[in-house]
Amino acid sequence: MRFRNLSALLVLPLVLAACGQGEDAPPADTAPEPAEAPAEEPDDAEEPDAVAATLDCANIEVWVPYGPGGGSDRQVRRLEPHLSEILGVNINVVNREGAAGATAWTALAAAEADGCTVANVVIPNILIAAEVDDAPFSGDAFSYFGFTEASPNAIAVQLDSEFEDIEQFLEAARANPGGVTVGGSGQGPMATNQFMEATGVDVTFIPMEGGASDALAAIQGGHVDAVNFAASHVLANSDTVRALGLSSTERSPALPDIPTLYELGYEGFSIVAVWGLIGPPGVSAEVMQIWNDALIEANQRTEEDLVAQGLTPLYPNLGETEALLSELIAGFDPDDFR
Amino acid sequence: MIEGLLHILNAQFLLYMFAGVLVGIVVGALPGFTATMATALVLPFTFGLDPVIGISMLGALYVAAMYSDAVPACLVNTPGTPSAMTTAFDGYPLTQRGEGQKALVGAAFGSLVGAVAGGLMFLFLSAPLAIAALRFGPPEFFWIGVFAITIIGSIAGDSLLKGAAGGAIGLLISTMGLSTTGGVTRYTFGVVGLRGGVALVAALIGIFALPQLLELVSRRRIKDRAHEVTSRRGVTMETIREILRRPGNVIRSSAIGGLVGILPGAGGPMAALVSYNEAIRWSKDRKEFGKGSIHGVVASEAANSGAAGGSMIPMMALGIPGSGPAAIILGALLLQGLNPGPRMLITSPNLVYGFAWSVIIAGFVTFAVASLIARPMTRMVAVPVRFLIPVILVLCVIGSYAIRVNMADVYVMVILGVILYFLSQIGFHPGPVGLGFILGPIVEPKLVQSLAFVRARSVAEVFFLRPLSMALIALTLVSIAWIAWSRTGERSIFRAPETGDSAPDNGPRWAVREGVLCGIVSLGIGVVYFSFSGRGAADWAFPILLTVVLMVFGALFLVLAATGRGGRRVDLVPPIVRGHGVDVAIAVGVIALYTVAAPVVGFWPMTAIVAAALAIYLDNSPTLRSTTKSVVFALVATGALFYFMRHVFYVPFPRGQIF
Repeated sequence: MRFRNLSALLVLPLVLAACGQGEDAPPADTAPEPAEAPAEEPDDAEEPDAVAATLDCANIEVWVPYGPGGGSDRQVRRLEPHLSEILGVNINVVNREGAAGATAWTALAAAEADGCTVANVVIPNILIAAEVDDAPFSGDAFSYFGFTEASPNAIAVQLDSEFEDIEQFLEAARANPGGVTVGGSGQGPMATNQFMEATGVDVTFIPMEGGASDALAAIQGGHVDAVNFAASHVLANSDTVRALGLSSTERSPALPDIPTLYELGYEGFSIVAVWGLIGPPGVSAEVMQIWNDALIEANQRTEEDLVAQGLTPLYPNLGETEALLSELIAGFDPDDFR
Repeated sequence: MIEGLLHILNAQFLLYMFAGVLVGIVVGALPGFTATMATALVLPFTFGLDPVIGISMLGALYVAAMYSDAVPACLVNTPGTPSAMTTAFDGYPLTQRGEGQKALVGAAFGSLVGAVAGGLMFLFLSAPLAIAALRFGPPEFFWIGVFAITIIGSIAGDSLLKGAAGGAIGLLISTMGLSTTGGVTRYTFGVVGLRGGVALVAALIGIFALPQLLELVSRRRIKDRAHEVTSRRGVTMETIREILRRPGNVIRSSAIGGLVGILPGAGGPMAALVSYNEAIRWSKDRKEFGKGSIHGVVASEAANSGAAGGSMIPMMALGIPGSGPAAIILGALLLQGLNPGPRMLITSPNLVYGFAWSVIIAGFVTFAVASLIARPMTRMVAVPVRFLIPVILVLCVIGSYAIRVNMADVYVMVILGVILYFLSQIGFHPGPVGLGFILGPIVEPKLVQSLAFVRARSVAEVFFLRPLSMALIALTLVSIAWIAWSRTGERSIFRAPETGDSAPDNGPRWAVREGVLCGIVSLGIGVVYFSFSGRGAADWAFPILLTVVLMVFGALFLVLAATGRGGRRVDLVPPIVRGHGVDVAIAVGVIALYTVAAPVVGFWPMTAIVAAALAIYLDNSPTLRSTTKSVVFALVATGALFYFMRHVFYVPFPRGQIF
């Protein structure tokens, strides 16, 4: 039951959204710093102005750790024009794909912590890279500017599948242990292990390649019985795919008719993907605050797109970002991948 | 349908169309810059537009890039995108014969027919084709990949065994890095930069462009100019007439392109490979292919352009992008609040049909531009080699860096290039190696997925009893039988001894049979990779199989050599110390120094220094005037190139520690 903490997450966004909006209090007291950040804070000779509202960057580079077209790419390109306007600096988006995100994050860990080089982050992906794939960085070492959106996972089937609801699906899986197939990519193994642990059934996991297109093709073609991927894909493909259950405690506003496994009494299927923006380790508190403010505003401006894509908007300030991160890390178990 | 056409025909649409084509042509022609990157770059400009105009511009960009990737393939043997690998097989020999313009016109015309065919399929056959595409599951994809591997039989060059060994090497190296299916790290030898694996684009630049560059270096004392140009009027019409004398080839190639294009993930490179293979199989003068057949160029280009339109079908009809650019276009639609899927045709027919028409229109716009630039482009490579070589080198380095903004990819490119140069000296053709790189990422994950199904079903059910799989297995067997048949009578496994052999039998002591070297290389790579293989996970099955295959090939080479069929003798000394060997060694040294020093010294200054140094060194009759020219050329050319890359494509070059 180590996932119970995490399963409260999908309530959190609503709370955070409420307190994140209209927040204009000075940063100093509301934003407790990450535990190790102050120690590594760069001792810049020129002390940044206390009321500095802009970054000292000729250009800003935002790295996408994945290829063009994916969820991370879409997040960055959605925010880019707004961030550029708010920060008053030209932004270049760079796709640095490779090693399931680890190539970009490895490079970011060594980049200058001036706030001019930042990257998209996905949790749990960065934790998988650090703790399962042994990438040379630690997930919590970076400067987390904020999180922008989240999505629970969905167990989804073909639109005209024989399974009317999750109970029928579980029934079939119980009747034929290992005979029912579930596809998924990225966090798929973790999500499916959670699902099996929570429901007590034994399904066969089929590892798909990155992105949702592989899983979508497999489910639409009937090659797998179900897929386990971000619920936002269900909304974008509502003509062909239907969700049976979600991995959150509360129902998703975008998919109000889909029950959560939690409400059906299966506790522990609680994976949630959270997207955000990070800087190299040791970015100064002032710069962190500038980024956090800009991120919240840019995200508010694009909230409509975000909700239309079935994603849950997040507006945490720096303190809440830190708290959310700790909770996500506490709920992450690398053993789910082994 | 007609309404869709009328919906888009306006001045604004044509303007954006033209802009998309121009960007596409530039991007496609630069190795390392892909249509996917360019569509992502252009995406923000489409936000404010009418959705159909926005996505049509992105589509036009893709179609144009599928033509222009043939330009560097034909002119400097460097595929602009992986889709143009087979274009280089015939396009470059044409350029070497002074018929570069013919090659480019052929590529343009093939692309036109391909784009039109892809667009028509999109317009009329979307629904049935999308449903057909869904029937391909992981096992079917695996078998398509296996079928495609038999294409080695067509492109192996003179020795089937060398082709097969080359293909195995390409497949094996393509599995390096974190596996896409299981998160297993393979063959990184402890190097962090290798965790991301080998970038396909960087690998293809390495195995095609770099050996060619070294070849130009080695010949520069004989030939001051890389190629002659016999440019004259009327080439365009002449070439088109020649192509149309074999209408079957261009039609078949376009159809193959469109059909392979609808299979998500297979895309342009696979389409071009299959089409090129079929072009050879159905041709009466098979021997011409690989030596400068215009029909080979047409087959490749018609197929990869057809695949562009084909890849839009599953994107629109199912919400499954069939290619990188299709994924960006899908993202553009989602950002506009449109969810592609079966209902799209009912809810927004003008958008779907308008977009399909735009693919066809993009084909014509691209052809018009391409015809205009064919001659000037051909003239560009007729400059003296001392100017051409630095430019190619810089494009290779920047291209392999830009693809993932990763210096490790540059080192991989250089290492592969140097290895392939030496392999080409003992008769390996780069084609099968490139095929391995292209097919590895398609076949291998599908094998892992298929193996995962075995827990739920029996092996026979997964691999052999599905009707489509059976058809594909039959196709594979036919292909193998055809190879056996078409190669009967070829007694020698190795090419016949050439006149002017570098080492006659009574030659120097340091000479060995070609077959011995081939055996050592195959066996060596097989043994090294085998010893670094992990056990247990399904992700190791394919690479371990390949290492075993390579060891068997290596042993076979050695057995053949021991029984007197080892091919010609190769002198080990001259490449290192004599004649042109010095030039090659110096060039390799300069390239190594360049790539190692660039991140320290600063990318642009180091590039300018290297370009100037090469231009001066390769000058056959240096005078003060020509030296000044070399230096000015190096500064201007590299400066312009860097400014363009930095500020138009936002390539973030690492800041040097000195500059």
